[in-house]
Amino acid sequence: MARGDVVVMSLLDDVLRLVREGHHTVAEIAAELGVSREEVEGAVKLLESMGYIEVRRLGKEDNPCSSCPLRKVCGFSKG
Amino acid sequence: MGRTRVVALAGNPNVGKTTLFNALTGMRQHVGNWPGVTVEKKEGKFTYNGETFLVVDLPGTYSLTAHSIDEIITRNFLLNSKPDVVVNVVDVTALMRNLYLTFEILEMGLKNVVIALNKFDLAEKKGIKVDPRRMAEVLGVPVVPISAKSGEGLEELKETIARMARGELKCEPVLPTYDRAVEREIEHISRVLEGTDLAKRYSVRWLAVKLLQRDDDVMKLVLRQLGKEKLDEIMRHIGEVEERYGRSIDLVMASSRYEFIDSLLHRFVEYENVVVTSFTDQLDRVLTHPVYGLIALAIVFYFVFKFVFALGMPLQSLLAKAFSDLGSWLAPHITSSLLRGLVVQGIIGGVGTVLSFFPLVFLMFFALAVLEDTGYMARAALVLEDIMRKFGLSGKSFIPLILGFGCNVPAIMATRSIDDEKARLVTVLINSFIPCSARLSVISFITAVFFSSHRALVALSIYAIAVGVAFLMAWLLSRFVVRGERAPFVMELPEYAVPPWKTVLLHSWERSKEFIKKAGTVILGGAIFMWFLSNYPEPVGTGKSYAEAIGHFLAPYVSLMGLDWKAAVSLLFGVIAKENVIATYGVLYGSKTAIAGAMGQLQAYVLAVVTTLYVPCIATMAAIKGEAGWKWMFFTVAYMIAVASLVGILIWHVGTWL
Repeated sequence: MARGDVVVMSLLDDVLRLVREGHHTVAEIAAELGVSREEVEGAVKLLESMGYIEVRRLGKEDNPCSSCPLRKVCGFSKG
Repeated sequence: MGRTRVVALAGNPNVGKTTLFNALTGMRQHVGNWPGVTVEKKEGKFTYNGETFLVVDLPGTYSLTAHSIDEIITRNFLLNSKPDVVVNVVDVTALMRNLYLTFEILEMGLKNVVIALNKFDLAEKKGIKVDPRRMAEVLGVPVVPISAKSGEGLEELKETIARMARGELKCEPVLPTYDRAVEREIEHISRVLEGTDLAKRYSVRWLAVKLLQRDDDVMKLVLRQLGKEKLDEIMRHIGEVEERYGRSIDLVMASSRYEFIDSLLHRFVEYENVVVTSFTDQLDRVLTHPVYGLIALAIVFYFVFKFVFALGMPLQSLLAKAFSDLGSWLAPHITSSLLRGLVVQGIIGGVGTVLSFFPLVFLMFFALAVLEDTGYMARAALVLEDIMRKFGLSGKSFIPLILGFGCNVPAIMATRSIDDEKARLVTVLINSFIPCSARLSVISFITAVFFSSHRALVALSIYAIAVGVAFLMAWLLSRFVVRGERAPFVMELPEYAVPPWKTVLLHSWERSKEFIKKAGTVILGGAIFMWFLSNYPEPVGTGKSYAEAIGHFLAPYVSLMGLDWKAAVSLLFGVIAKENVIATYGVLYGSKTAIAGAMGQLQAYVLAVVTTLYVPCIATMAAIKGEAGWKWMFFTVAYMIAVASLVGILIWHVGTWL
């Protein structure tokens, strides 16, 4: 880069660095950076939409039973 | 009357865009799909001062990078459909990420944007003070504070939309500036594009920014306009800039945009005590900690088992007695000895024994549902993930392994989300070691029948052995088959909450009723077949039944683990469905007291561990075959038998020695 060019490092870079280092919760990252949860959540959502990180949710939307060939005879998936 | 003006609503997901859409259009709505995709398209109309406006609710997005179908739809609509007004709905309580999208919209060169500053009523409660007038001055865009929920500010918003549509309002936005190297490149690309047909349709700066971000759609447009040679030259330039940064230029630009927004925010927002550590955060520091979290996990599950046994055992005894009484009552009424044996010994003895454990299964599902709905399960999963990674598993193996505790079949299906073929294979191969809900009933049965004290600890230790073996095998397999990749991820942790009891009960019932269903089908069939094998050609005890023949054939092998021929037969039937291990004992012994005298505690413990580890059930085998092929299915069966045998032999000999 030419002399005098400034490389901007924002909250986005800090969040990405911490996630890569193994911090996996918004609270952990917010505490580490001394910023609010909302700010970290915003950065996380953006990084996810850009494809840099993955956000895991343990919810029903991840229920793989929908693709299971036994779903019609199995009541487990209904839970 | 003039033409209908088109108003596009754009914004992040969950900012109240649809609430605003409903508030503006009321009942005058039409719901369809966007052309060619199954993404919902909502349109509606409203009239203001005699003018009609068609409102289009665009899909919620965080950016316009064209990574997802929602982003593509939103971007293409804003660029190609040329709406009269773009209303950017911004959540005032999360300004940073909302304004990121705002600036992506403004960078497109749109001059008809209005910002609807939603949830304005909540801002003050969260310690956020925003000056909308100052915000409009700083951004160069009209800003209207609203509360879509209460309807506050909607009249002013309609007025602003109407004035913008008539051209009475101007939008002269301030745009983000990037590092000097990036700006030089934007300038260079802009010069190349100026004067082309593309420049007439799109903002040249926006095209340059998108080329720098290697946007596929924009690259295609430029290719068609300038040809391959020119595009290659531009991309080579971009590559050189990126090389100098040593990281993706996309990220460099996103960072600059973020910093730019941060520098603007201070001019119209004041934050008061926003950084607070909530009780949830404090609790999470313990529950997701690599060491304390693991201790907490063990304590929580110890109490889960304690609760299940303390409450479930008296109910189990009642049910067992009811089945036994039913058998005694029925026996004199059935004259045919063949039928009597089948009903009393085969069906009631086999299926009844399995069914008597229903309270324990229900309570276990109830306890798990409570943990899930209080928000603890996500924390437990995170603690386990950390360990999984240490054992060389792929980050993406985590969800399939957690699902295995419910049922291994969908868990194996879920490995499809793992891109790396070898990592996927390792996850498939170790998944069957994770004790599913069927094995829970066997663990409960053996623990309840053979142990009068420390039942929770016994059950917990069997789970711990199974999970430990799964991790150990993952480590071994990943050492020789594949090394786990580290996928950067953030775990979304739900807020702690009081579980909704009605939902918890419903979930527990839905899941545990499968146990009853299975008892009436697979287990009933297994019990009848077992009764046949133990009564033909001569009854068991004569040494001439088929069951004894099979059992004695396998006995030398299982005796290495301290088990007898009956255990061998039960394990053989457990391959069809694990609960058949219980049914077999029910058929062979008839009552819980008789079963309890069949073997010692150490043998029972070995049987529980071996049943948990030895082979996947038939449905799981079919899933492995479907996902990995015959070869790996046979490999899984063989190596699981080998591992279960080794662990069984080890526990038996160490236990005997102790």
